[in-house]
Amino acid sequence: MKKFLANITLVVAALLAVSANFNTAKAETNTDLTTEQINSIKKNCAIIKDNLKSIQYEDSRVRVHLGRYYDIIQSNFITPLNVALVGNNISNINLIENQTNFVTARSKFASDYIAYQKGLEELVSLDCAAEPTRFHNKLTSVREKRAKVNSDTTKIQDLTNKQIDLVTKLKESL
Amino acid sequence: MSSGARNLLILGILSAAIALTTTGISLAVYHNSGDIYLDRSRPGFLPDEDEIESDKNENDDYKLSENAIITAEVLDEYLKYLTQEAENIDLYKDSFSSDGLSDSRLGL
Repeated sequence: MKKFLANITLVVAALLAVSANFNTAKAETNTDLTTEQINSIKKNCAIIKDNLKSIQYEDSRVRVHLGRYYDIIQSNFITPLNVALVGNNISNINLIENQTNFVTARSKFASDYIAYQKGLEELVSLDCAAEPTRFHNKLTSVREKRAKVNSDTTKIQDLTNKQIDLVTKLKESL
Repeated sequence: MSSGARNLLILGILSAAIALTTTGISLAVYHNSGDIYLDRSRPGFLPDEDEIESDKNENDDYKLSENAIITAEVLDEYLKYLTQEAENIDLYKDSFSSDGLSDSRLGL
């Protein structure tokens, strides 16, 4: 029995080791960096890190402003209008749908922003001079996360403009 | 050491241990939940003074009453303020564009 358990343990350990090596190899080879690019990352590592930190600061500033505006639009405009419309016996399914979409988009923006900032923090903590390939792979992943945040802000902007259009049509119908 | 002094010492050590444990748990939750990334009061992320001044927004006082009688005039005012808020977020339109992490911006 003991021998059997020992064998199982060895097999599991071997599988884990192979899996870890495979993932590492995948991460290391998932790039088409040239020697010139690798040298550039190594050489400019300190400057790159400083730039990343300033981007982190700037992003946090933008998020606070956008978050405040989104909160105002939802709490002072979108939600109270739908409540008031119910009180006025006016039915407008499009405005209700827009509210639902706005709340969902805001929630997605918050979670995508957190994922992006986590990635950015991990990127800043990497030693780009010692691990330029790993750094570049992580940078690619962080860029993808940033693109998601950008898409979220565009979506919220579109939903705000849609709210303006819908209310304009509602006003004309009164 | 008298038994009173020993008990006092044990109480002090226990209190410190509990404080350290609960602080550690709080910090872990703060970090893992992602709240840390939304917090600008942490060192290195504090807003500049001029930024605080520019944060004042006269539109913030407007809020449509949930008991409002919906008329064209009420919606006119609503649209006026909502359009201003839309213009505010439009200022940050490309803030998370790919340029932010481009090779040239990073110095790669």
